[in-house]
Formats: sequence, structure tokens, C-alpha cells
Amino acid sequence: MLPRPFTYHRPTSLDNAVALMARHVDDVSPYAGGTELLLAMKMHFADYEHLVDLKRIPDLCAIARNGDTLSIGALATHAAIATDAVIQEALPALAGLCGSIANARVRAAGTIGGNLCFAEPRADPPVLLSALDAELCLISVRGERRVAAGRFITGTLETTRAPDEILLRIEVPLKARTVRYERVVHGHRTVAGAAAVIEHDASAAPRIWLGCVATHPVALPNAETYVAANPGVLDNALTQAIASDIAPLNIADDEDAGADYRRHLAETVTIRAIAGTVQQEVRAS
Amino acid sequence: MTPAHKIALTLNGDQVEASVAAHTLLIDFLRDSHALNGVKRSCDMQVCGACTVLVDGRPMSSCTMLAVDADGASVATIEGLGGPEGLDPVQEAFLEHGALQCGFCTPGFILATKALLATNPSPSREEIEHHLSGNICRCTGYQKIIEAVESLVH
Ligand SMILES: Cc1cc2nc3c(=O)[nH]c(=O)nc-3n(C[C@H](O)[C@H](O)[C@H](O)COP(=O)(O)OP(=O)(O)OC[C@H]3O[C@@H](n4cnc5c(N)ncnc54)[C@H](O)[C@@H]3O)c2cc1C
Ligand code: FES
Ligand code: FES
Repeated sequence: MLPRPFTYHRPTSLDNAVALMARHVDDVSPYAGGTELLLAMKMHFADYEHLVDLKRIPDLCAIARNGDTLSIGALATHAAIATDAVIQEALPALAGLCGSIANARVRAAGTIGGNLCFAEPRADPPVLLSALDAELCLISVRGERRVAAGRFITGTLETTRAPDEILLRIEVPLKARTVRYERVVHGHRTVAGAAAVIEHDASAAPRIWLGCVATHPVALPNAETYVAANPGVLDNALTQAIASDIAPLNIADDEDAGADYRRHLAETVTIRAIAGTVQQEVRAS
Repeated sequence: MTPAHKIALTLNGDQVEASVAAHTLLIDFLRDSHALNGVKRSCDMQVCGACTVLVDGRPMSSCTMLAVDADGASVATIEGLGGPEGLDPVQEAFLEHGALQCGFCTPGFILATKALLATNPSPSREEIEHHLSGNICRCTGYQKIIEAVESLVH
């Protein structure tokens, strides 16, 4: 099917883009790689009067390390992140994930910002970025605002982004830590994905996040507490802690996996992510 | 009706100017306005790769890209490969290795291979499989395709 007709705007400056978003706020969508948006518009799940193409705005795809912060422009594609030397060195888990998402064409067009803003429940980067304690920077005519990655997505295709806001960049604090993302893919999408981030500073709490199973990524507090108290221990009690975090989640059947199977995979990928950090630490020492 | 947008692109080496509606998909622009029928539509959702074109050398699903996005870009389709002097080496390799049967997927596989070799001239078998995993072939069972690509690695 074809998308329904719309008015296409192609601003070449951020100021113009922000103004266009404000002017057409009642029926506007930012447009990046289009890998989700155009699909939804072709199927007529989504229709907008105005599309504001962000791809010709300079610098929105920049990737840079500023001291202890890694800054990733919202328009950076999965392919750019996967092959970026700075990210490969500072955050290989993210480079590896972006290099394995979808297929070569989706990686060449799809952006990290589009992935976050679409809030598809099976998206991987939001899980890892939440565990990494990343912050998102958004802009509108009201100015800039920051929000923790873990608080940005609130439900299926739902975020705290205001209709006229543009995601500018993602900032990831670079600390001494061990990072692992593990996922299971069925067909074309992830059915369970978990991130474990273990800080080398023993006083800082580990962060363990699960995604692609319920409506949006969630922290697993019991697992985090257990790992903090029992670093490096992979035992039955850890499995039970993880299971107790997963039990209350609202997990539904879908075309890729039944709810029971998803729960099982959720537990499995979480254990794998935690075990992966332990192995990496053993190897490093 | 939404206003038409003027676009200018390099298409298989030729300068092309056109006027397109914003919601025109690149695949329809290529097939309907330029008779480039080597660009195939199959899944229409970015999973099969039959509609693959190269945009500034990068593989793209033309089924899910707007024609206006090609403005200022260089677009290559299968029709742009080879010439009177002979086939492109990737096309030759596919022929030699029997890497096609019905041929529906072949333009996509060949263009995806061009993109891979341009950035990584000596990919491992694993890298070839990973890169081509987004292209679907219903006939060959992939073995001959992988062998054809491997034969191009020096
Ligand atoms: C076949 C296939 C397989 C996939 N597999 C995976 C997978 O395994 N794991 C995974 O995580 N993802 C997967 N994806 C999803 C993919 O990562 C996203 O499609 C892509 O990252 C979206 O980016 P985009 O630039 O194309 O966004 P678009 O489609 O352009 O936009 C998506 C949404 O975000 C909004 N938006 C985009 N950029 C901004 C911005 N800067 N500010 C504000 N709003 C913005 C748009 O308005 C729109 O609502 C897959 C997709 C496909 C098609
Ligand atoms: S038709 Fe475009 S990827 Fe299948
Ligand atoms: S040769 Fe028939 S689909 Fe590949």
C-alpha cells in the first residue's frame, strides 16, 4: 500500500525544524530513517498531515566522546553506531547490538533516535540504554529538556515526548563498568532482551533491565539487590530473584511467542546477561 | 493534492531531474517512471531484500523509502551494473556458481554483495552470511550464493 498524501518539510537547520514542529503540532511527525514510520503509514496505522524530515539538519548524527560522556546524535544510524571507532572502544556492547539489529538495509536507514521514539515494545536499544543510565536530550520551542532513558518509554508506542519535541541526542555516562546485552530473536524481532551493567566502583549499584517481553523496558530490582549483595554468584537464589521480578509483569501472547515461553526466555536472557558480565570480569582480571 | 517536489539525483550514472509527490515511494519512482524493473517488490516491509537499491553506496529497501529522500543522492539499481563490455564481476560470479534459479531475488543479492565488498573487500564466510541474512531466496538454498560471494574474496 501507499502512504496517504502528506506535506513534506525538509528543514536544513534545527531552528527551522523546531519552528515547523510547533507550527504543525496538531498533526505532525518527525521523520528520520522511516523504517518504522513509513511502514506504519503504508499500512495506514498512522497518518500525518505533516512530516518533518530531520535528516538534512547538520550535526544531528554526530557521535563524540566528551570526557566521561558519550554523546550519540539521535540521527545516528544503527550502521554508523556499529562501525564507529569511538563507540566500539568506549561501549562495545552498544556497537555489537546495533550491528546485529534487523538487516543491513534497516541498519543503514534506521536511527537510534527513531528506535527510541517509536517505542516498539520489542526494541533492543532502549533496554541497554536504560541499564546504562543514559539521558535523552529533547528540544522544542519551549527549550531543551533531559529525561532518563529508563523513564522515556511508558508503554507500547508511548513515550513522554511531547508532540512537537525532537530528540537531539543520547548521552551515556562512561564509567568503569562491565556491560552485557543478551537477546533471543524469533523471526525478525527480539522476543526477550536483557542488559546487565556492573559498576567497578563497588559502592555503585548494579543495573539489570529487561525488555522486549512486556510493553516497555523495566528494571529488575530483586535481581539488582541480589547481585549487589552477591557479586559474581550465579545460583538458584539469583534465578529466584529474577523470577520474582518477572512474575508481576504483564506479558501477553503475540505472533512471535506465547506468554509462558516469553517468561521463560526473559529469565534465560537475564541470567545470560549477568553471567556474561561475570565471565568478562574473570577474563579481564 | 500535496504539491510536487523537485528532485535531482544520479541514477545509474545519469543525471535525472523529476517532480514527485511526497508520498511516492522510491520503488515506484524507479519502476514506473524509469522502467527499472529489476527492482522487485515482494514483502513490502523491509525483510526480503528484493527491492534493494544502493543509495550513495548503501543498501536500502526502496519499498520503504520516499523518492524525495533520493534528492541529491546517487542511486544504483541492477540495470546500472555491467555494460557493453561485459557483466559486473559480482554478476559473473553468480552466473559461474549457479547462484540463481528463478532470479527474482538476484538483483537484491547482487547489490547487497556490492555494498558489502565496497566496505569490506575480504569478508569471512560468517560476515557474508550476516550481511546477506536480510535477503531472502526461495529457490537456491543460499549455498551457491554464499559460494559465489566467497569466490570474490581475495
Ligand atoms: C525488519 C526489521 C527488523 C527490525 N529488527 C529490530 C531489532 O531486532 N531490534 C530493534 O531494536 N529494532 C528492530 N527494528 C526497528 C528499527 O531499529 C527501527 O525501525 C529504527 O531504528 C527506527 O528508526 P528510523 O530512523 O527509521 O525511525 P522512523 O521510522 O523515521 O521514526 C520512528 C518514530 O520515531 C519518531 N522519530 C524519529 N526520529 C525522531 C527524533 N529525532 N525526534 C523525535 N521523534 C523521532 C518518528 O516520528 C516516528 O514516530 C527492526 C525494524 C525492521 C523494519
Ligand atoms: S520488498 Fe522491500 S524488502 Fe521486501
Ligand atoms: S533464485 Fe528464486 S528466489 Fe532466489
